[in-house]
Amino acid sequence: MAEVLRMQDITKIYPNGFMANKDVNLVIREGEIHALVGENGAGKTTLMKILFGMEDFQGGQVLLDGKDACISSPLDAIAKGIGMVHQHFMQVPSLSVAENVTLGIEPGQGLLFDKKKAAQITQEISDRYQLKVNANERIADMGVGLRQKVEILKALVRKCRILILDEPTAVLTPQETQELFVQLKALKKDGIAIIFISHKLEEVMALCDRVTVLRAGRTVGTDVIENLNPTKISRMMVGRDVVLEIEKEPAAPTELVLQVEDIHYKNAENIMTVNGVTFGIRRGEVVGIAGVEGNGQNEVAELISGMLPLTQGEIRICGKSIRGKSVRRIRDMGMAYISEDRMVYGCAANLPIRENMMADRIHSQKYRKFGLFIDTKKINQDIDGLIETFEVACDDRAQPVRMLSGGNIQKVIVAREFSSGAHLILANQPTRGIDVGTTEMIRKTLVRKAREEGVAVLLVSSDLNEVLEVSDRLLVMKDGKIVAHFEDASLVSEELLGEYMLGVRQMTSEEMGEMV
Amino acid sequence: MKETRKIEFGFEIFRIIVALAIAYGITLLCIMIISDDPFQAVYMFAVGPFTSIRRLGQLFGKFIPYLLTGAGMCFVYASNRFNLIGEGVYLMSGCLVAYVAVQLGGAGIPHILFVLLLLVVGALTGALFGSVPALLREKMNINETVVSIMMNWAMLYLATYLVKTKMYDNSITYMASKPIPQEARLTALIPRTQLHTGIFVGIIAVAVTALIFYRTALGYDIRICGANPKFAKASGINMTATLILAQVMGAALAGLGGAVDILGIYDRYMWTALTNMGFDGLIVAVLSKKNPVFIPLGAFLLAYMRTGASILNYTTEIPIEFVDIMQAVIILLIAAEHFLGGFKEKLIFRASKEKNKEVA
Repeated sequence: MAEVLRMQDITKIYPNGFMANKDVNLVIREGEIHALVGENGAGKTTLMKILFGMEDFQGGQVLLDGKDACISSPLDAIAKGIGMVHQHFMQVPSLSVAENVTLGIEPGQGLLFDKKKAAQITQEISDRYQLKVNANERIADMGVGLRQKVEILKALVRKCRILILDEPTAVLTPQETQELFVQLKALKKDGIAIIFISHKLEEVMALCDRVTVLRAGRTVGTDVIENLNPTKISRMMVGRDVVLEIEKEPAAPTELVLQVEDIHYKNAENIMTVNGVTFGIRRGEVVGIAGVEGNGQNEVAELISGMLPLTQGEIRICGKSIRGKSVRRIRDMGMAYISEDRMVYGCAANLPIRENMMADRIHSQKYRKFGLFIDTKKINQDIDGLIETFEVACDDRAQPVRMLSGGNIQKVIVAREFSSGAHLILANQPTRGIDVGTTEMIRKTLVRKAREEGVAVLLVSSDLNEVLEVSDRLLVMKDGKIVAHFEDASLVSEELLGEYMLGVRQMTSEEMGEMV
Repeated sequence: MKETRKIEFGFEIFRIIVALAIAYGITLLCIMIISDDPFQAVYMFAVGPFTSIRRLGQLFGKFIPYLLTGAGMCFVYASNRFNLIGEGVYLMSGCLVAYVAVQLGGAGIPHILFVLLLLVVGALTGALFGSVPALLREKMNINETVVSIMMNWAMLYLATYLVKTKMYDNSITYMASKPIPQEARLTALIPRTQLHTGIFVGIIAVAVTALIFYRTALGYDIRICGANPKFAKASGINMTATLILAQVMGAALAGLGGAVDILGIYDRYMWTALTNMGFDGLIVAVLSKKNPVFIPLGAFLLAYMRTGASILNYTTEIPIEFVDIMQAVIILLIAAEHFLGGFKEKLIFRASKEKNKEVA
């Protein structure tokens, strides 16, 4: 098979001095599905951004069909036959599929837009690859799975020969993932080369022809799938064996810490994103909330943490209502919160590690000196202790957080939240986009906190492996409601969980039983 | 990565020097073009402030209030609010301090006590007027920039009204208050110069600001609120209280600046136009990059440029507006993060590459 793309000795250094790629090599052949795997921060996304013309690079060469291709912008990349499906869809929700797909290459004469022609072009390609997308449907009315197909359509309509998919299955249920794989294989038969970025090794094994592994910005190696297995790949990724299974003793829950009673939340668009949710968490147990993102899980976490105002229903921590209380007061009641978006709610990127770790406790009497001042010595001592315990890779406590890698930023955040002495820890997508090593540390710490310190843990995650491994009890949310409750998460399969998340199945309230 | 931080720091200094060099270059070039005696003009502008004790004193006369307004605006700027109330408060505080001084003059209050009392009046005036835009912003989400700019004008006319109706001195031909009693005035450290004891007030204020910034919980709160308000909220910081306090303290310092200036340099209250000292305070805060430790540096730099400009103005035919242009260039270049940014990236790139070579 002919070689369509060769990225040779690519070196990329970000303005903060972080070397994201170092002499990386990647060769893509016509009609293959090529997996690009590696821990987060290994440089996969950066490499793809370079290929798509979104980032410049300081060393190396990009060759298309053996010829030096200087890709200057995404527009240029598209012109040269490269298409990219981003993790976050680039779509206009109020427009139809056809209008979105032909945006920028609108058919028609002069200033006139030929809507019929656009729909026709779109539908033709959708049908050819059996993407099952209706060209006249509005994006806003479509599910995540279909919206992703629209992204693929956009690339296909622009006649791409190389299609980049950046973690396409992160937002999909197992069933939708299977469907996507069938369609990707159809594209492959047509000679389109696909670069598939993923964390999920089973998917890579099931779909791809060859695999390139990156680690810490360097190429570890490329091999055909027949020579590999998940254990081998994960060893290449981290350079050691990763225990993705968490060993834990059975939970022995005692008194109730968190009580959530029939809460509702209406968002700014007047949509009931949380619609009557009731559950409880006891000391010593981890309760997971699974669900496709955007089904109200995030709002539940934000309501409990006090980030969103509680208007309907009741939430109690250790028996006391949080209604009308500020985040400060709720934290004082024993709540710790690892928020979903770490760069927005989890840290101040321009400030040093010190300020970031002290943000929630700087007013504590523990750090007071002479009444008015803070005890810098004690603060520095404690911070150095946290940096050591959580193995934050940094120069020192004065280093701005923005200079750290994603995994290390998350370590700074969890170091703060895990050390606040809370009775209740809310972990909202705590390991999203984080390297395997840090992920493992965070998951183990969540379990250890529950078992050894009797903390009540609420884990909100769209990573099925994570909720199944870490949780004792498991809830599933769909459309703002709890649709399933499992007393023992370890007995649930990913497929079954997927069916509840997708709404194929739903438990009756008798089946769910008492949710505390 | 330690290397990166060193480069960033070294680069920051380098960038300021280059910005100054470019701005000076542009100005000097223009002076050459429009002046009949360019060398004299350049000399006056660059070295003028240091040519006599009186001129050096003039420089300090500006440096002292800059310390105070700079520290004040540092509070406001670090909390990421563009509250410009310092400008109006400076003038209002000068007015009220002069009024109180005139009223209490001759009552036999000892000098030190009298001055302290007047400084308190100045700071309180600042805090009082400064709390208006701060409260409106934090409680009712009304844009603080708009409110503070409108209030600046209102305060100017209020002060003018007070001078006209309550403080006017019939014995002179221009509009000014009655003379400020001698026992209320700050003493000159060097006779017949503008270097007065207010400098100690300025130094103490800067030290206290630095202390609050880095040695109190409030300082942490202010910086976190300024750097990322959403994170501040999620960490449980009381943002409303923190930001109101930061803005009010900033205004109080600006008020103190007005008081020190009027008691140090003027014998009567006579401001009938905005003084620009509040805005200059913001420039000082920008120059010192939100770090109170650098305020004396920023204040000195600006005082030096302003003094050079006014000397240039009265010794040559070059208009003072001209120097404003140069100042604008400097501030623009320093404030623009990406000026020479490509060069910085290259430096970091090279350092990073070398380090990786060593490792390999």
